[in-house]
Amino acid sequence: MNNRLEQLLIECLDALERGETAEQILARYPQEAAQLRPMLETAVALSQLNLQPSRAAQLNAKNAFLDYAASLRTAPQSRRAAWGGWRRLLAPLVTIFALALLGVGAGWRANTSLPGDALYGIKLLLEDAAMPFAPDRAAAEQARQERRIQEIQQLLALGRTAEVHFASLITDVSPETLLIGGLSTELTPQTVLTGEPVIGARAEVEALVSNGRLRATHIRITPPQELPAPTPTIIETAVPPQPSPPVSATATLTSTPTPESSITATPTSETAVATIQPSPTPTITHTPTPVVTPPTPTMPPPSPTATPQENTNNNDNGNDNDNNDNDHDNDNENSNDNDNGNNNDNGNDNDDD
Amino acid sequence: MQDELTLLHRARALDAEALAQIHDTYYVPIYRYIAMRVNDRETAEDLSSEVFTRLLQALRDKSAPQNTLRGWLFAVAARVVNDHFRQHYRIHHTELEESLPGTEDGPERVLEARMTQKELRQALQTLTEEQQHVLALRFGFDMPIKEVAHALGKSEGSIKMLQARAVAMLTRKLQPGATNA
Repeated sequence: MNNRLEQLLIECLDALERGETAEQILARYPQEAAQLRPMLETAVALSQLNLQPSRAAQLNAKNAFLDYAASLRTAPQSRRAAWGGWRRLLAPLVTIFALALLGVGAGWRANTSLPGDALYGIKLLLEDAAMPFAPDRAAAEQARQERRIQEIQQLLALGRTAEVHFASLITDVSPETLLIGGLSTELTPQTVLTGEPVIGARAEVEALVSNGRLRATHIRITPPQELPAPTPTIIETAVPPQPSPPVSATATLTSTPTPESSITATPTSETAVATIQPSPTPTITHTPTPVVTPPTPTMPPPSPTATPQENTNNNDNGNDNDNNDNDHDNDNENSNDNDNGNNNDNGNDNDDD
Repeated sequence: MQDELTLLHRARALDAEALAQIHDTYYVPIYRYIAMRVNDRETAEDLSSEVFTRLLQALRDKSAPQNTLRGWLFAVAARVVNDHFRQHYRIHHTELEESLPGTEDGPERVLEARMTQKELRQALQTLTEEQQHVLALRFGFDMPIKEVAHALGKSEGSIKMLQARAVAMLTRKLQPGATNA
């Protein structure tokens, strides 16, 4: 499409937007009408592409929307992020106050409340207050997490709408759902997933329960406990002061070196596990974990370079961990970006007006 | 504008009537915008609902728009669609069948119109993201050029050119023998 035709098309589309018909517009450009006509017809077809949602879908969406709004109105205390800090500070005072005013009956009612209930905040406060006195903190925390899951199961069974938060292990992974703590947690296009969902990983979930479905909004995943990285085992007593040619642990020879031998034993490989022990009968055994025995005392024993400096190399693992931490931080930032991005993108541009 | 400000003010207090009015006013334009971009009824419905869920979350978190609800909702709808495409959660495809000709049309006309609608929607998917965006806003969201330009942070001239090129591209795709690849 040349520039002139493009300019004409722009004028035609302007006219179409003003409400003129295609025929009226084309009449103004008789010479180019043949070229412009199909493009104007496309534009008209687009404007007549009368996509309409089904009435049922619209009604269901509205009901769910208003239900969610109602849950926000009636349960502002479920806004964990907004007052999570205050909860801990006020926990002892409020507990005493709640027990004094409401008595055991109210406490019991709070204890049976669910997310979205007016007394649910009291329940959480009571839990927080009791936690320091638990004989086994780990078991108490585990029990608390299980309570959260049971509450969600009840919400799902009752078909209620509420925001929930829980954490547990991932036991099954599929493209659309994760089984977390026995709860089938749906992933939606809007789910912000931080970390790799694998079986055995721990997931901290923020989700919305609605119409018997549990849809995750945020999932933060902590990888399953990883095995420690292999590190060379160095026996420091095997670091003799005498100079000697280094012995390579990767050597493929099987030999019994004489004191005159110059076989090297330098555990330079990061993966090699070199155990060096003084022995009167020097041998080199080639196994996945080579054991290098330095020569007899009659000759200077080998001086492997695997000295404390080797330990410094081992600190690579520590560096890796640091990097992982950084990655984790970045992930969190990204997830925040996602949240804020919804509002910041073009929305803020508009807000400025 | 004053009405929208009042509506927003009431929505910030989670006023049920105001929220219902917002839903009634914007659900269909948002659905149309999304449906033009995803070409899948079920997904379009889900994503439309998600836009309103995000509105409530923004109201709850006090990050809701202060002045222009319409522009804010569009921005969220655009982000929801982009998130959807990024995550490739296109599991089911229930072909959209809206806007079929009325029953008063003859069967040949119905078939022809259905084919045109289908081809048009398929051709839309082959445009660049920016072109889809502009056409979905113009013809799905019924946004005038000026508002599209403002929403996308571009000049009106740029949007008009983008629109013209997108329409020309669509026309080429709809030519007999053209492929929608």
